[in-house]
Amino acid sequence: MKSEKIINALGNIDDKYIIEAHGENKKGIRIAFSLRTIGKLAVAGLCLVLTLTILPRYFLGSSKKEAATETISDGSYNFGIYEEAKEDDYRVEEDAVVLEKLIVKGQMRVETLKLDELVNTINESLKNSGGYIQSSWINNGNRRYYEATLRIPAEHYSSIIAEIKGNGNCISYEETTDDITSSYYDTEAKLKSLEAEEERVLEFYSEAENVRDLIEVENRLSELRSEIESLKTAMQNYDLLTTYSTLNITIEETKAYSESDESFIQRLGRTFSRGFINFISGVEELVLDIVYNIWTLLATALIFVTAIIAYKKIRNRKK
Amino acid sequence: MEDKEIVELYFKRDENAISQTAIKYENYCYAIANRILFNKEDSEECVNDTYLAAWNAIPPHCPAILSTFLGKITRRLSLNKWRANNAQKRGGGQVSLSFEELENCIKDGEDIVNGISETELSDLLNEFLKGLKESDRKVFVCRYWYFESIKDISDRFYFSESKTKMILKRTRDKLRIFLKRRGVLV
Repeated sequence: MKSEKIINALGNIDDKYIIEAHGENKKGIRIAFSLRTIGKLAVAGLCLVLTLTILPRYFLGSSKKEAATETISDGSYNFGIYEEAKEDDYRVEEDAVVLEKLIVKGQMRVETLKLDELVNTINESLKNSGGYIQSSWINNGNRRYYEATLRIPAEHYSSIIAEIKGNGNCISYEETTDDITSSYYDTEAKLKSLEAEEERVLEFYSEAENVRDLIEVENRLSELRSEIESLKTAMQNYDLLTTYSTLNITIEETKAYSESDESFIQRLGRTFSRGFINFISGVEELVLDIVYNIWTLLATALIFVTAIIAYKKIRNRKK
Repeated sequence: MEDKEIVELYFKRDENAISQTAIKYENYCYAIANRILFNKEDSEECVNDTYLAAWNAIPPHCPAILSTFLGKITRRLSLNKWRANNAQKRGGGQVSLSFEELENCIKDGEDIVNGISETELSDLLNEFLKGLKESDRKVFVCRYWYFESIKDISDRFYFSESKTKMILKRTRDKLRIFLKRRGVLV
């Protein structure tokens, strides 16, 4: 037998290897990395987390409820201490300061005597604050106006709004705030938890010793990575939406600012005159369009007239 | 009694050396023998033969580690007895399985070169064992020196049985490649 020589030769190996094999296990209790063990560890971890998160809620609840609720507004960012009773989903340590995550969107309509100047001012402010123009459109017709969607860093939002108001006549302004703090931190916590699990699974992966375990660990790893990527994308979206506030702005150029305290008759007269100007402007646009398309119209008319003449001639011959 | 004192008794040709050896190492030697032979009477016989072999070997030989010296003798004697028994009835026991495992790791058409001595092969095996990871080496020695069952090895190192089997399989494959590279396996 081939193996017999090896078995015999093994009889004379160094004593240290023989002693080592039956000696003390230096590493103490080794963990067999079977999936069953992973499952047990996961259940134990879950119990530990539940114990650490739920029990303090009952034992420390009264002191938390006494914690003052304070909100300091700094532009569109609010730093607040969360009152325990109001926040069921998202728990923080007592006295911990938590950054609120707010998505701020604004709609503004402004009048200005000098459109270009205001647009330049806004562009300059945006550039200095690190914001950008998502989309813009300018109409240089009779009635000049500028429409844009601006993305303004949240911390500069208020100052830019104030600057626009200072340089023009704000006709209307509407602001909506969407508080996503809870979902943001839930997503963040879930992401961290999945990343921690990924690390653990990677450790199991490197130590797994049989093919079945390897395949199952790989499958779990693939699932985890997919979930992590999805959550990361969601977090990036949240970050983008909360870091930059959105302002949809319409700036109209006018000869004189509208008076905010004018009477109904004055407003009626102003609306009538604006309507007339719009009508004239519309007629002008129509004439310009006709002129622009004159050759096409002439060609069409020529074909049409020729066709009618031809048709009449054919009909006369038949008679 | 310390090993050193027992060895001194052997050198003095004091018969207490055997009784002291039995007190200290009977269980150890019996465990090795019984794993191979799986028979109480045969194992006891091998253990007694071990004492006699030690008595004959010391002096002139002076073992550095008495336990492994005795263990090696017991192992060799037990294997010899196992072969003698096995000539009539094949199969069964951890030794057969160990032989089969090592036999299967060597491909058909390959064999250990004829010229190599047991000592040379032992030296190579020492070199091979030195290069192994500690845990893999322990498992390998437990299996092919002590002839422990997969379950016993798994229990000893707190491994699952499948992990132990996997370690042994990989180590055998490494051994095959090692011996092939050294020109011992052709």
